[in-house]
Amino acid sequence: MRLSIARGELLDSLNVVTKALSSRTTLPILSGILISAVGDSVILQSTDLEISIKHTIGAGVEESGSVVMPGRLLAEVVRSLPEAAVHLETSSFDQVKVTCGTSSFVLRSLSPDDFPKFPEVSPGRKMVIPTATLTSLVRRVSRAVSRDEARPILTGILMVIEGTVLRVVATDSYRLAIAEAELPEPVEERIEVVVPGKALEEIPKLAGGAETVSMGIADNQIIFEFGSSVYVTRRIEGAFPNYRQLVPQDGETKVTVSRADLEGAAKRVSLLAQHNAPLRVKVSDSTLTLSAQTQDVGEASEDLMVATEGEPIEIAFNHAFLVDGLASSDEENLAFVASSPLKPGVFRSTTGEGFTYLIMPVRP
Amino acid sequence: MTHRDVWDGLVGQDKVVSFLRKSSTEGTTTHAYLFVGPPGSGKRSAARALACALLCEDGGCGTCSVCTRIKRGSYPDVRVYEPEGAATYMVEQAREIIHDTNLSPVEGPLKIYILDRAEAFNPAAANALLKTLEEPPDDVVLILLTISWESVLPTIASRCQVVRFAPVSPSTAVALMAERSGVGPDDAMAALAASGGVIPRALDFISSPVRRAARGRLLGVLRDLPVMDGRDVLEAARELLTSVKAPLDEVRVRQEAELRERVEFLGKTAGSLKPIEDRHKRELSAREREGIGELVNVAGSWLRDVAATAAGAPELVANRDAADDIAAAASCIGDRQLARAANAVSEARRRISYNVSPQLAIEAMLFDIQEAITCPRSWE
Ligand SMILES: [Zn+2]
Repeated sequence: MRLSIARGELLDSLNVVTKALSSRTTLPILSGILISAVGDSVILQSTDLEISIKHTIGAGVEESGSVVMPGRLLAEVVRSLPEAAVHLETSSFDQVKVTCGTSSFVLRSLSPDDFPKFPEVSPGRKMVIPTATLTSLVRRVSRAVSRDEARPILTGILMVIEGTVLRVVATDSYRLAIAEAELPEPVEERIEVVVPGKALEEIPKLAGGAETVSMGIADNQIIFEFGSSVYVTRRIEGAFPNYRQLVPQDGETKVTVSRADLEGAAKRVSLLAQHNAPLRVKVSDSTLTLSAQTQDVGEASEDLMVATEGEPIEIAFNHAFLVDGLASSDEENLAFVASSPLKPGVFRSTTGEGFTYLIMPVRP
Repeated sequence: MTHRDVWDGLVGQDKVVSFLRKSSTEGTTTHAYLFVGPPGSGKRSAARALACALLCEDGGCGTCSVCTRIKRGSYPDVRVYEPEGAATYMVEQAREIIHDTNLSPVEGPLKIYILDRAEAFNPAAANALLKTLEEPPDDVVLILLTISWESVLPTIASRCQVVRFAPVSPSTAVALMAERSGVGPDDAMAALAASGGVIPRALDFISSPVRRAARGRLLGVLRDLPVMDGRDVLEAARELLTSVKAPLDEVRVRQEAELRERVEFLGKTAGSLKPIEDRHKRELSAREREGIGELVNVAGSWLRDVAATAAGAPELVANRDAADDIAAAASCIGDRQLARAANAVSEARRRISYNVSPQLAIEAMLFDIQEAITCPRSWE
């Protein structure tokens, strides 16, 4: 392998792929970056066996080939170089010479045969999503993702693709968030897959610059492509809770409320919902009252004028979960639906945003 | 009939091989195995062979990319774990394994976890793993390895299918060593005697000049014991201990090379080197214990050789290179003296296992053997 590449581009590319480098010491190959030179480009790949990142950049390839180089060390070396062309050349079976201007380094390399292979995806399971859409979908459900490894399936986000509808669902069993968006093109097969929450939350950060993200579902992995990068994550296995069954279709009480007003009020009243004290929601006539009380500290309440339908109700929630749900949406108005102090309350978008946020009640 | 596959490397475990081969081809493997067998009986190789059989498209051909990567330890869906704590598995290790079992495999249809030294699960780490052991996801196979069933926590052992490995017979071991590295039968027998019959350790032993020299020194001491005075014996024990420490330098050189290589690869982030340094420390102390153990094994095998020769069965002698000295000793040491000397060897083993200082244990063993074999022959 012999190639030259602009130092700045190589460094940018290394900064992308070093995100998936493993610190696991049992498999040294995982602390390496697979560098493959083909045609007039260079592909950099890294993996920690949970996520993989591949990044392609243009380069002058004089001799094609591939090699695994120490990731962090290579990044440090390239960072230290002046802004000029960097030459990489395999100098023996386990060494690569890095030269730039008058500097030269010899780094050890490992065999590319041992590097884990990238998955293939069949075309029927591929779709294109505008990056902004994906970003807002993830943002609307990510607070409901569980961080508790005791139930691994809940640390993931369920993605359901049906025709042109992409639905994402997350729940930590105390609340459940659903968000929907329309895809530009329909997908042939109905797809349901659970993606690790942490991995999916990385995509908007990485794909920020690209207009669209292409998503492919392979048997074991989900592949995201954007710009010149590919990001792969393993699926979480197991059955995701049946979210349709959990969400009530209708309720005795229905309120339409300004989301920002309710969020502001909830945050203020929450200040006196300490030590897990509940945040009480009371609906009667055209008033929604939020109140909280912490023993030996004090109490707070705030009234909002709202449009109500149906019966009056008093119900209580965990204040942080309520604020999370309100902060997850961008809607101007949300509908609040509830049936009984013992059944979950639901916030739903009033326009086509496709946002549903369900919270389990607590004892008032 | 000479269809070679991944099971061929397993010698002397016909029952285990036919059982595992059958269950892998018939699709009747279970989710959790406990492989039980003495050191060197092939548990690790069998675990890798089972992984090949389950993941290779040809049922374990031994030559495809999947099989070769499994054997090299670089296939992403076959993970090998060993205790990372001072002597036990860490709870974090158990959590890491559990987390991974819930993800889809990277390449293949299954994920296989090989957990070496299953006796090193303390209750905390074991508890974390119990649920996974009992009902792992469908595409998970856990293979736990141990030298003795009794030493594994019952909560773990009871959730696994136990597969027992037979000790490998000496003649099989000698043949295997000849096949694997062209060692002659005399050298192989001597090395097996020194390493307690563990083939990989015997091969290591042969490739270490300093360890062979330590054995030679001990054989000389055993020959000369009857004419040595107290000071000579103390001096000999001191020398033997020094010679046991010498091979540690070989280990250190290798460890330093590994550390250098890792620093090149991981950069100088201290945190990432800590586990390797910890492992090196464990390795060094294990190696030192092994060296002392080798001395005791050599003494024990020398006494057995003397007994065999005295009993008219010189073909059983393991230390062929010392056959003349052994014959000479056999002609003047009686049965009861030999039995007492053999007791001295067992006593030394016991002391070492109770953490008596190695120096004291070896000194005591030499004095006891000396007393046993030089006391006046009894009038039986
Ligand atoms: Zn194969």
